[in-house]
Amino acid sequence: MNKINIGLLGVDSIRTRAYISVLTKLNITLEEAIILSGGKSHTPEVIEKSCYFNNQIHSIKMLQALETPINILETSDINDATVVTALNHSRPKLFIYSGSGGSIIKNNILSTQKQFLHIHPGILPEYRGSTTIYYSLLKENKCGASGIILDENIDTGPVIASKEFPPPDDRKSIDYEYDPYVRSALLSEILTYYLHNGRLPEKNNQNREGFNYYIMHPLLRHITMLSQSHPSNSGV
Amino acid sequence: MIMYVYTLTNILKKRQDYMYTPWHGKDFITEYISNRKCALSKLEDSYPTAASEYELIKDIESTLQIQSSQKTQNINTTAMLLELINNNLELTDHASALFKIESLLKSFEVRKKIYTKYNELFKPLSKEFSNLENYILFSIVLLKQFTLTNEYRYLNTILKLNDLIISTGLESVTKANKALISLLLTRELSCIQKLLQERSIQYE
Repeated sequence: MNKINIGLLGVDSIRTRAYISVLTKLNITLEEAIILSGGKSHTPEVIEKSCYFNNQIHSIKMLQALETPINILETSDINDATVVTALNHSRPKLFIYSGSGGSIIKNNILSTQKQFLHIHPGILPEYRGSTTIYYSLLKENKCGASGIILDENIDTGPVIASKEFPPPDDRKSIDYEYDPYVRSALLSEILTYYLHNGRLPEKNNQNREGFNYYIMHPLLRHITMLSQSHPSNSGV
Repeated sequence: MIMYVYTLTNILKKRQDYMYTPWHGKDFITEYISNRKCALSKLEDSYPTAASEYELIKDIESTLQIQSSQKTQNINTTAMLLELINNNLELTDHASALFKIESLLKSFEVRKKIYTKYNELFKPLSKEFSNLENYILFSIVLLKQFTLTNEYRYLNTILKLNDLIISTGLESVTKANKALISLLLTRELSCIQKLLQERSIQYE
């Protein structure tokens, strides 16, 4: 086992399961995991087996198999006071972040002096905001992911790695398969770098100018999913 | 089962966040098109002559009591939108126009409402958001922007604004506004049909 001084903060979601699948593949035991177990489930009722990662087993069971100490909190709110307390009592300085979609980390969490590594499903700074994997597919027929250290604004933190991916074979599986896959594939590269160098790749500050994408309208989402290729798009 | 549910209830009264969209396949495209055609049929013959966009906007301007906001930094939304429509976005003070468009787009996407007054940082200064003209005018501004840039995020907000406009029922809308909505929906449909054609998406 490769024991590393990094933590995980998140909920049990398909994305978290994809991330832990990477830890399993790389034989990594994290120093600690803080899992928010309150509120409604973050996984769909029926989960078809993925060809990319293990999506069938609950995150807590996967972490237990890796002998990772787990702190389970009864909240669903990433900004809850119990999360602050748990972070203040934790040893790792760096946490892999895998909170529920749409939740934004507030200053009370950022001021714990911990760093949060977030994998955003889009190349930054071009694709900031929501549903960017769909916008990138619609616009350029390709996907991307960027590893950033979270700051007080949306997707503006320093970038430590980014990677482009080809479009998925099955566009109906984006939310629960391809999006978590591209994020976990980049996380795998970042963690491999960390295992070899004992640190994260160098940070590059983003140009903070620019705009955000907002949640894609269902019509554009359907058009993106129904598009197989576009003459002007070369893909990756 | 109705798939295109985004105009069924008045979005001004009950906010629509467009979260957790189910997958309906090509049937969804067909339903969207019939939704827009149904709305267009309600707007037919609403104006005596085939008026131009310019004439329609002039008609609206003449009916509005737009207070000048030049003495303060506060923004009168209707006046600002009319200014954006009347000015050539490509030429005059492009950066300032773009700042206004992007700020209002952000505010609408976050709050799902357009307020009648904002401060210079686009924080709402009034609680009034039910002026349908502002939604229509902003949709026109974004159509212009989409035509200039082909940026899908503008088309994205146009679809949401037009859903909202249709969801209000269209019964109590003035003739000039009906004509503008008709023009808006026709152009939106044409943008979408062009996109479908580019992507080789067949629909019934």
